[in-house]
Formats: sequence, structure tokens, C-alpha cells
Amino acid sequence: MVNLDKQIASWRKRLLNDRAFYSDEVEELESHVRDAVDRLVAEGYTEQDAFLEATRLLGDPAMLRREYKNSRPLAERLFVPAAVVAVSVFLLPLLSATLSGWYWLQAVIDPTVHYTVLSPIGHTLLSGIHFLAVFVVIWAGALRMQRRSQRRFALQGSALLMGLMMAPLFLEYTALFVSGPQYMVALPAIVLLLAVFFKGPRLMKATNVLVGLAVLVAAHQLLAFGFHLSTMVMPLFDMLLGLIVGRTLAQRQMAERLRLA
Amino acid sequence: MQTLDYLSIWREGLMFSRELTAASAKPIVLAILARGESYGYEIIQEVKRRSNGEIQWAEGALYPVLHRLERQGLIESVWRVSDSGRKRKYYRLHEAGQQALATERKQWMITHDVLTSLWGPEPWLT
Repeated sequence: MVNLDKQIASWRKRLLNDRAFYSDEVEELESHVRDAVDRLVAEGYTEQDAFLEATRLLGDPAMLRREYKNSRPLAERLFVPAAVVAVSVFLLPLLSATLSGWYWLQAVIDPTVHYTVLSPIGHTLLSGIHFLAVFVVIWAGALRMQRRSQRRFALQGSALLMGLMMAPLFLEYTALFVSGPQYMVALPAIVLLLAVFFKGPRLMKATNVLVGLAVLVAAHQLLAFGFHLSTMVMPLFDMLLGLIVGRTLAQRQMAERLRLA
Repeated sequence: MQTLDYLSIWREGLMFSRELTAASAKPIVLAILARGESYGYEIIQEVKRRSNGEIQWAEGALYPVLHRLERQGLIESVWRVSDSGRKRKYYRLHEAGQQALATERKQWMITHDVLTSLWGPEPWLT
């Protein structure tokens, strides 16, 4: 019995060292293994064999690990990565020495303005990281809603949020906006966000993103230069266009997926 | 003995698919708990007994299922020390679980009826 206790103790320690299992879950599994050992010993197994058989019947450890992890609520699974991203989004602007007060807050949602004091390479790198971080925060939020089968709402909501976050960026650079690089960053983001949300053939997704971009750029240029719309209202039109085009593409992909299935 | 059971199941190709196992685990667990509170090991033994050993879950995988059902509010759990002096986590059906079980039952009966009407009686009975 001493030997068995030792074996179970080291087995339990292995499970506890693996972050996939919580301590009360390990306790529950241990109770199970002890029940199984009792029964197997009664059937004529030696203690040693009974323990090996009992843990074998539990299932492949990798599979078990996966099942436990998958059973956790999404918020729990995403907590650590989401926390890292959220903290970094707020800390990144601190790398720029010129920020203070409300401008710092504004910089949190605006990935490009505040790194201009750095070298061009450092600026580009940090802006890229920051932009990805903002993207991940929105994406994680949308996924949570998806779980409550509000997928469509999540889709439109995340696109809107993305647009709203990018709006200060547009307004900041109204002079550059019409043909400037910032505009080229935000629109692909919106379309990509919408298009990759739904499963579909990879080629179709790629085509959709390209077609969506072409439509958006063409419509933007037409409105801005053809109709001489003010650069101040263009971000709103771009957001609206992004939503409509993105939604249409997403629906097309959804239909294709249903057709394939 | 147990190893032989496994082998025979493999040989006859009776392994349940992942999808079928996952889909049937919920009604089976709820139905067992509807007969009274129970704990993981006992639930597995009950499934083995009632299926004549045909349904062999990877035993550890039952617990994530139980935890998920608990989080959905269908069952509840409590730690207790059993008569044998062992600490066990007992699960018991909630009211919402009763309703979920009724729904599952309806759906599985419909599926069963459709398959039965399509397949007819088993050949060795005719």
C-alpha cells in the first residue's frame, strides 16, 4: 500500500505540474484511480498492475489534457494571452517619451502617431506590434460573443469597433488621408477581419479579400475625388463601405461553406 | 480481461466515432444522474454494465463532460467523504438538467424511430 501511495503521489505531482489541470480536478482523478485500483485488485491484479491499468483506462494523457483544456470557458482559455495583450496595449505608448495626459490615452487606440520620435524602423516595428495587439483584443472580444451564438452581431460589432478605433488615426492625418498610408492600413484590416471570420475555401477567401479591397479603394477614390467629399466625413463612408462589403463577402463565404457541407 | 475487451472491439470495428461518443455522452450522463446522485467512477461502470462493455470511454474524458454540464447549470456537484472513507465528488441533476434530458430524449427517440423504420427489424429476428 505504501508503494501504491508513492506511485499515486508521483503521478499526481506530474498532473499538477502540468498547468492544464486544476488541483481539485487532479483530486477527482485520483479518487477515480483509487476506486479503479480497488476494483482491479479485487479482480486479482497486483497493486502495481492495477495502478498501471487504471491510469491506462483513464486515456492517453495528451488526449486528456486536450479534453480538459477544451472544456474550459473561452474567457478562461484566453485570459492569459488577452491580459498580456491588453497590458501591452497600454504600456507600449509609454515607450514614447513625448506623451502625457489625454494624448497618452489617445495613443492607446492609435497605433501609429506616437512612435514618430523613434527611428523609422523602430517606429514601424512598434506600430505593427501595437496594431496587432489592438486587432487581437477586438478579435478576442468577438470570439466571446460568437460563443453565445451572436456571431453575426460579433462580426458587425467588431468591424465597427475596428473602424471607430481607426477613426482618430484618420482624423489626425486628414491631410494625408485621401491617399495616405494610414488609410491603406485600416481598410484591409476591416475587410480581412470580416472575410477570415467564416470558414471557406482558402482561394475564395484570398479572392474575397482582394476583391473587397479593390471595391473599397475604388469607391473611396470615387467619393473623395469624383464627388469632392470632405476628408472629414470620408472615414465614416469608409467604415460604412467596409461593413457592407465585408458583410456581403462573409455571407458569400457562409453560403459556399453550407453548399460544400 | 480488459485488454481483450478492447481488442475485440477494435477487431469487430465497433469503435464509436468521436462525434457519436461526444453527442451521446450528455444524454447518457444526464439519464444516469436522473436515477440518483453518482460520481465519475460509478457512472463509467454503469455505462459499461448497461452497454455490455460495448461503450468504452477513455475514463478520464468523462470529467470534462461533467464539468461542462455543471457550468451549464444542468447538474451540480459536492465533495463528500464516502462510507469507505474516500473523498469523492458527487454529481446530482438540477431542474434545468431534467428539462435538458427531456429534450435530449425526444431528439434521440425521433432519431431512433427514423433509423428503425428505415432498417426494419433485425434480420436474425425475422
